[in-house]
Amino acid sequence: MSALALRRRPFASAAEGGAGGLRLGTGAKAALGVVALLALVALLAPLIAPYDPDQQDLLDIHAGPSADHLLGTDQLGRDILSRLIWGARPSLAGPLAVVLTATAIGVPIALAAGWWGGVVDTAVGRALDLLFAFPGILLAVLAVAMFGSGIVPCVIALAIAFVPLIARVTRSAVLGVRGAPYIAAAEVVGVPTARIWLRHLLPNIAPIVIAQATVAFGYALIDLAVLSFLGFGVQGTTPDWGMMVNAQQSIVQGHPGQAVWAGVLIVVAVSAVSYLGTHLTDRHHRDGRDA
Amino acid sequence: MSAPLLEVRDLSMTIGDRRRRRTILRDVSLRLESGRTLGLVGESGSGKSMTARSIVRLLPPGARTEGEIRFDGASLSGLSAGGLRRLRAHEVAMVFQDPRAHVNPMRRIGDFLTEALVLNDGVDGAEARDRARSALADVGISEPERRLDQYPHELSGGMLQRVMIASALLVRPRLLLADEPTTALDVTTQSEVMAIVEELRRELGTAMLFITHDLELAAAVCDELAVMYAGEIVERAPAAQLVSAPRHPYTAALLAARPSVERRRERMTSVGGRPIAAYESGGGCAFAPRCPHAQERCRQTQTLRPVAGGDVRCVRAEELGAPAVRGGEAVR
Amino acid sequence: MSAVVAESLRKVYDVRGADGRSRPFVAVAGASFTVAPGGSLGIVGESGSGKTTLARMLAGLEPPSGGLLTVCGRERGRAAPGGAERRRRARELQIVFQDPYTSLNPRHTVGTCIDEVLRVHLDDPTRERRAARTAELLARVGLDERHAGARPRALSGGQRQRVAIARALAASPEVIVLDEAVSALDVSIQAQILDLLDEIRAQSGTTYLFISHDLGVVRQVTDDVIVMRGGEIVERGATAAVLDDPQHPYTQLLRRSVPGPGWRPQRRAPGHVAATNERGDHGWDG
Repeated sequence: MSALALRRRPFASAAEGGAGGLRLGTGAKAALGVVALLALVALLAPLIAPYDPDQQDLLDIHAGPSADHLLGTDQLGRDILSRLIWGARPSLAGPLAVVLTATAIGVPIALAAGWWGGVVDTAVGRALDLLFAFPGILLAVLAVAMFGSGIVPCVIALAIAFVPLIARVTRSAVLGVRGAPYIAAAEVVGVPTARIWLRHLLPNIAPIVIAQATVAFGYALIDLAVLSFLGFGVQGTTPDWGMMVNAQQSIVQGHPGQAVWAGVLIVVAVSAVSYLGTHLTDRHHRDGRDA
Repeated sequence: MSAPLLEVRDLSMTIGDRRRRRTILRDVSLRLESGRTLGLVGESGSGKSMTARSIVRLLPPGARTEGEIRFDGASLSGLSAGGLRRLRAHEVAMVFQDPRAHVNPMRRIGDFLTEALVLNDGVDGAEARDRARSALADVGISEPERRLDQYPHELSGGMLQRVMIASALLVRPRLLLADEPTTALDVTTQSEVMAIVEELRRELGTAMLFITHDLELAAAVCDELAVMYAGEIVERAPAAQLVSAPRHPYTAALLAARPSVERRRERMTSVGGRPIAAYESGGGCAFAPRCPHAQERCRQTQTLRPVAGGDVRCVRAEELGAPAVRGGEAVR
Repeated sequence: MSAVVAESLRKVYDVRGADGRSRPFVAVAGASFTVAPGGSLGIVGESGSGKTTLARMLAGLEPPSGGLLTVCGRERGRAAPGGAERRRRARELQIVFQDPYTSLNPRHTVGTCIDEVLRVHLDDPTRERRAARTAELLARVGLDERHAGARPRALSGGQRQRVAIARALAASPEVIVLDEAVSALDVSIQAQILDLLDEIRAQSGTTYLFISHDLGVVRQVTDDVIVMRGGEIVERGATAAVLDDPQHPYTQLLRRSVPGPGWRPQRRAPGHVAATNERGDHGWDG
């Protein structure tokens, strides 16, 4: 039996990114921190918001920042800080729902298209092309026209509009991995197709799909904010950053506070998520085969 | 005695970043006279490719070198960017293993070939094209006029490599650095391409540093051979001598590891383990852990010293003699 | 009963030319050969010879366009097999690929890689039996148990190739197709793997189909050889006979091109051997 001299080098550990392959540089770690912070704020809103976001105080409208109200009050005397905190929920949950739905639809059809190619691929490709032609907001406005305003029609419409965004990238990734010898080896070994998809294909395309999903999250956030701004999205008194940016009366009367803060939060959230997304995509491309 | 065309003295190289530095080359020294050929032979981690790249400073980011490289008597380390460009444009040409990675797929072959001539030498466009055409014919490409207008993807690997050689020799360099130029080619194409290189080289008087893992190939096309292991030169000798009477155990192992077309062997391996890079070796002889002749004194730092017409980095070179490689093996 | 029988195997692709029209490209044109159980057949050729396409047809990765392929007495037709048939075929024939860097899933450990095969093929695949067999297989190919927890990126090319061989062996196949399996390895490592392959065949009587462009490797590992050029078999016979005394001009050219003692590179004589299947119009075919 041929002997082999034992290697002296330690094997790459998961900490070095040997396992999941999601190695992050300092910039990306900061972005991740921001996103995590925002998510935490949204989750803990009932605990950390100083006031009830709907609590009005008509004697103290448009108050400037003070010890009582750190960011002041809006046109109905509601605490702006509390509304921003509570606003994180719909503002972040909405895009999350859009992305999760788009991914849940887009990834399976892309897998099928990439794996079997031929007729399936052509059919899926045409459908995606058609869908891609519709900007998300337009689709959402159509949905609102048909089903009335509200966050649900907007989310569903956007999710559908975003399916091509996720599906195309997934399909490319599948095509890239499909030809790899280790996939062929699994086939020749007799591994059932479903298992190949689950254990070989998905783990290797996951980084690129996740990266694309984070980019899509940013787009969805903006689109939903715009829809709320237009009055199509979140209804009623529930605070939402997009809506807060549209505080027309307050701005005209010289109290742009809530609009500015809401706008800043939108920009920060989108930037952090987009940075994370593009960083992950770059990493994956650079790592190439060894990712 | 005039200065050699190329002289490398105690070249050491490390790569890495602030966090971790790794040694790739350790005190590599070699000389190449004008018009002569030197083969640099080794496996993964030997440092042969890095040695060649240091000459034209094609190094990865984070690489640091020490030691001296002299071209035609003048030191290269003090060279300005302009001087380096001139060196690469006129004196030293390099051909790589994978031609497709080194050519712009969006440009035609003719443009690729004439660009250097027009920009660097101020040659007029029509004449540059003439020269390019005859260079293509010299390397054995049929219908050269038509090829000038083709794009790289329209040519096979072998043809593209010929184009690269044509391009390298078009500038009439004094030195040709060939880094595994035929490794990716079919063996019949390899034979043809090497024959062409040999012909043109002789005609132009170009010296050549030929990097390869194929000891037999190097022996056939080079005057002298230097074998590298773990970032060091372990043996240097005239080609014929090195392959018929190797003095370093690694050279012998390398020769023995090649399966022969002429007969089958009972057992292929003479050594276990795998080739290592400079940063993976401890002190003393880097090959000792795998060497069948290793002894206690192999742990000391080894020096490259003259033995029987060549240089060997092995304390036991004299007593081991030259292991006969070709004879005496069991035939199945 | 032969291990492998190929009769007039053909593979034709439809290629879209520069003019936009579709033309048939014949990658393999009527290859016929047999391999006895425990034998070792070398398939020699250069790029464009069709040897890789042939390997893929043997492994079931490419359906033949025509002809007959029989492995272990059972025919492998053109229809894509279902799961059960795929498993049966896997026990007959396995494949080891050339590139050690892409033939293993970068996200799986060595242990997982082999375990997956055992789940499909081991009788009574309990966890204990799978673990024991994994350890056996690793030892068989000269790896340590410690390697089971490693991912491909931590292993050298030679070690990865050993894992690929272990994976092939895990299905206990009758036949192993080795598609340039040692071509990407350092010379000294190649020698180790060649010895390993020899040992495995000597001990288990596995049949090899060894695809290679390297005549020295073919001499060392195979008993018989077929030489392919432009999709056709131009010469065949016992390896020693074909390499010592080649009959076909192409085989002679191949033999002449191998560096060795006393060898010098040569330009091809004008009017060289033309293939019937030159891809594109390369003039001197690269």
